[in-house]
Amino acid sequence: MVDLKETSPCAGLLPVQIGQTALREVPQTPVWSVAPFAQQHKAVAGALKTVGLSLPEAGGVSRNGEASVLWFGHDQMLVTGVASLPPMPAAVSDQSDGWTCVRIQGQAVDVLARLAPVDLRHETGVARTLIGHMTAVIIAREAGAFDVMVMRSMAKTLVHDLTVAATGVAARD
Amino acid sequence: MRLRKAAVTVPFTFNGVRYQGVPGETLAAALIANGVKLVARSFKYHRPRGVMGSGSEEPNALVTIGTGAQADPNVRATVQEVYEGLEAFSQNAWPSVKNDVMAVNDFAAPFLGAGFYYKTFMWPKAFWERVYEPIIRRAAGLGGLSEKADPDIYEKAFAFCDVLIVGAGPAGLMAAKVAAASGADVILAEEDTALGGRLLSEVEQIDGAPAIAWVRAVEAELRALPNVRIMTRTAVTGAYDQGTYGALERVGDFGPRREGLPRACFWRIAAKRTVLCAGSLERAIAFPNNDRPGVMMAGAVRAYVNRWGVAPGARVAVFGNNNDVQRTARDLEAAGIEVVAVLDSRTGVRVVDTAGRHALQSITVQEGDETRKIAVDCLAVTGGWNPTVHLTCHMNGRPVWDDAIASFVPSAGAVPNLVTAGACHGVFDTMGCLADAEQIAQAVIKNLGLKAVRVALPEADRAPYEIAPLWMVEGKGRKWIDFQNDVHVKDVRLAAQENFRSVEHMKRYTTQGMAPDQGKSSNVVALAVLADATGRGIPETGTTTFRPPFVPVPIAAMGAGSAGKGFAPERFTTSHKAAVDAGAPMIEAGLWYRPSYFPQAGETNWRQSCDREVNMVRAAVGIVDVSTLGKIDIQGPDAAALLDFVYANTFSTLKVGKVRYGIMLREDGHVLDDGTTARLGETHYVMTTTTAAAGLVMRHLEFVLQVLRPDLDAKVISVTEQWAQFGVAGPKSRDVINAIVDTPIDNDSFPYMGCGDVTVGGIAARLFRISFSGEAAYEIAVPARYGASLNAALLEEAEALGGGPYGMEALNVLRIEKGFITHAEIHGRVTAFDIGMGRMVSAKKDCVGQTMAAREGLVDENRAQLVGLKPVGAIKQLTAGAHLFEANAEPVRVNGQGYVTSVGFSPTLGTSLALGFLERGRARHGEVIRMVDHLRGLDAQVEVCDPVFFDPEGGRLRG
Repeated sequence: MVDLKETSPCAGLLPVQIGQTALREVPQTPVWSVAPFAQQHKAVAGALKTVGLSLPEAGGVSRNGEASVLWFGHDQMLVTGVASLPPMPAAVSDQSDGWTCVRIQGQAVDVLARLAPVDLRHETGVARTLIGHMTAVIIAREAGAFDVMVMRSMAKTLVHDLTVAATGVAARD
Repeated sequence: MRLRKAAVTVPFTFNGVRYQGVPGETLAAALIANGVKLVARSFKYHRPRGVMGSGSEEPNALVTIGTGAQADPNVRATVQEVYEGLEAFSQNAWPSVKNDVMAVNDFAAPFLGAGFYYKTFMWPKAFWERVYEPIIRRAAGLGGLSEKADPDIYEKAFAFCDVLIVGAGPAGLMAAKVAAASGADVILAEEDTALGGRLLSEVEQIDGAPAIAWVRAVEAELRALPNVRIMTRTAVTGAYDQGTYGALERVGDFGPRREGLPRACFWRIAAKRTVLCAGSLERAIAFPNNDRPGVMMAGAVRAYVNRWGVAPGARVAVFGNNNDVQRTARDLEAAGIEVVAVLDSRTGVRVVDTAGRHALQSITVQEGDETRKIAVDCLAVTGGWNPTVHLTCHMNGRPVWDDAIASFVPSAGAVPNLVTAGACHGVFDTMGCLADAEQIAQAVIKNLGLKAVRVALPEADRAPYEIAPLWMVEGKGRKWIDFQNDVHVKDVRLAAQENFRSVEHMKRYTTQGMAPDQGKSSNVVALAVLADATGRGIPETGTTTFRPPFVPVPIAAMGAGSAGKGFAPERFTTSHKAAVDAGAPMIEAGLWYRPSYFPQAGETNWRQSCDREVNMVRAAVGIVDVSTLGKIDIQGPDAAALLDFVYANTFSTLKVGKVRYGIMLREDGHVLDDGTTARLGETHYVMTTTTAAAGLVMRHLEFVLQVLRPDLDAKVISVTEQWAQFGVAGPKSRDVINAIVDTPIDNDSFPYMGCGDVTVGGIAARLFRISFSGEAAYEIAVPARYGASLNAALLEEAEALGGGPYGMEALNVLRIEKGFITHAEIHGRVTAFDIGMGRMVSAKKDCVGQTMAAREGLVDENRAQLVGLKPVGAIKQLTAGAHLFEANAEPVRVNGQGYVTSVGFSPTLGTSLALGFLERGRARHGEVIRMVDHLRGLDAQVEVCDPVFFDPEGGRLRG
């Protein structure tokens, strides 16, 4: 039998520390996209409730311990940290391997201000936006940290862009 | 000469000469301190010029900083800060700024007036571009580019605020105080190194103490607040839609280069409200020979004396038309500088001439009938002040004339949600500025829905302005208006004489107010002269407006992060490292990097590798990473209906566990993309797109669901990156698959176009029996985290069977042999009919593009149709892009009958093969025609044939 080994998207790229800014890869957890079918939002909310989660507001996040539901766009959300989902009247797809996720800590707001056209100073939820030329998801974490998600194939460009921005910020100190 | 002893000085050089400067003072101040008067040569006439102003409005003293690739041209000496080792150079002068050969232009001046070259160099026409223009360009100009790639780092960034305050003079500081105290999120942007605006350069009191003490107190107060960001060295350069402002922050250009430190940062600031407190710019008076080094703006003279502690001259005269004449004389005397003449034009006195080639030596003054010459080395001139209205013009606002201050003031509402305050608003005394800004800021805060907090006004200077306009003094000699573009009074009059009477036409005829300067010091004087020349009033004449940027912005700053590979992200497959390790040259395809071929020992040419890989797939088995193809997960009760609507052919009839090839059309009836879609469940499909069109198709599906068919209950999401997918192709492909999957498959359980779930080492995977090579082939997909590992396992199994990896070149040859199309064929101008798939457009249902595809012109039998081409003459090479002609036709455009889209050498058939489009091509199989590549000089005889060259029955892929 073939023994398949895992490779993480940022393997060999992280962690790095640039001045006061630290970048590290967030370990891959189960990620499901959930898009409720027509008129089925209540039923989907009910199904999510059985795993202790709820539907987030637009731009918001609902959490339960390590599990969370991220708003992901119109009628679309990402459920993370739940191994399997209860059946629900929604389009559900496995997205666990489609994304790379980098935690940025330290001067995160200043660094991301150089890459993302959104105001993250008071962000508490999730922003679907850009990092440079890449579409991205930016999730506010505790203590001024953020998780930045881009498509898996772009991990190297993400680390590059974050590193360049962090270097510019650090050089001003 | 320095008026104060400097605590610390550092060496810098100007034109190679070493001087001492105070760190942080401007280069202009340091040059004045060192007695350097001649700084630059003018744009057109190469007139000797010196420092005239003290800020970013400086028209004369443009210098180049640094050398080689790091040289920055056209830097204002009045903005550049001095640091240890700074190297600055004069521009537009050769061999030196003192002995400039091109100064000959100045003697030819009578022939070089405005518009001269339009009239002079008309004939012969061909000479303009090749002869005249290069000569003119060499003779005139400012700084040059190094023509080397810029090695410096630039940055761009985004900022957001409730209130953006542009300018931190008294008005800006007061507005910031109010906005900050009211709890608004404030950005205070100031282009200078320090806050204070004119208060840094004037001798004034606020609340009985020097004004600068008030400035420092307010700054300290603002810096202590969490809701205020102070951005110094940051010039707001443009006003754009929806409250967005461009701003250039000078980050690293005021010191020696430091590792990783950007030179500048280009900010995009999104502000809910903006208070423009940009102050005002002093204007000159156009009197004869008013451009000699030593003739300066009075406000600049006060800045050098009061702020920088340097003396612009030892014997100074002051000339002007407002109360600043007396203020300047007072400040100079207080600093111990001899004031030899106070010439207040309101009393009738005029300066009618000046003398001194490289530095001012004397002025000639006329009072009544009496004319006298006065020896001076500096003349401070004030023609009044113009509110800095620039930003209010960026969205087509046109300033309005205010007779009381003889100047243009911003028109209200010129930029949505922007208001002006202080001098920029036409209020010229400090007390007035403070009161105006306080009141304006209160209104802005209320307008934002916040509770405005009242801030006590300090007691400040209330000196009246009292201007009596004087624009120009008649007399012999050129009376300069636009110092940067070398425009003088006669040019403006000539424009009027030539009937360029509109202010916009005058601007273009004379070039007044153009280029980096944007007429900061010249605009109002120029139009006053035009008004006079055309016998109209100034309000009637109107003003030209100002474009962004307010100060020059390096293109490198706007494009920060986008140089080189920063231009686009790089996308890597999970097998990327293995391919690179195997020595495969990588090519870019839709941002992805894919291997071209895998060279083996002894192979010296890509064709050797490609031929071997094609033969390997036909004889054994080859592995190719196909993860880059778009994969779209489609689910919902109406998933099948959605597919029927977007595909030309039908998918609702596809059985679960089966795959079908499909084409989709654009709304105009042309082919959008092709690919396969698998039915994984009753209401669950996964669509495959081409690599290049993955994003396009996703967008198309979103558009269909949101706009064309919102009634359909179906959801789409990309799963391209979730799955690492590999093609396994060749007669031994099943052996490889069975060595990998946990439960072996056979031809019955996985027939051609079958699909289903399998497991690999216990990991859930998907298997598709599809082929892009014409061989028995599979595509196997695993979650991407296992991609690298699966690739290695597949290669190990394949290699044991005489197979291995193959790249894009072999993949291309394999598909050309089979006549399979790519976007080389479906390039946007072809229809299903053209590619021989007309019958796939189902008549039993509606689909996107169906109606438009039925248009007469799109089903015309004479259209170019997809054909195969084989060389049959002496020339065996075929080239993509070549054109097709009848065998005996002359190969000229009107005889063109088609073109070649794809070519490759087929090792299987031992010949070059091509796909292309030929008029009535399907009816012409067997005909010998002519392929001509005009660019590469090829002329070949080719036979038209079926596009499927190899195994037309398809026995191999079903085997």
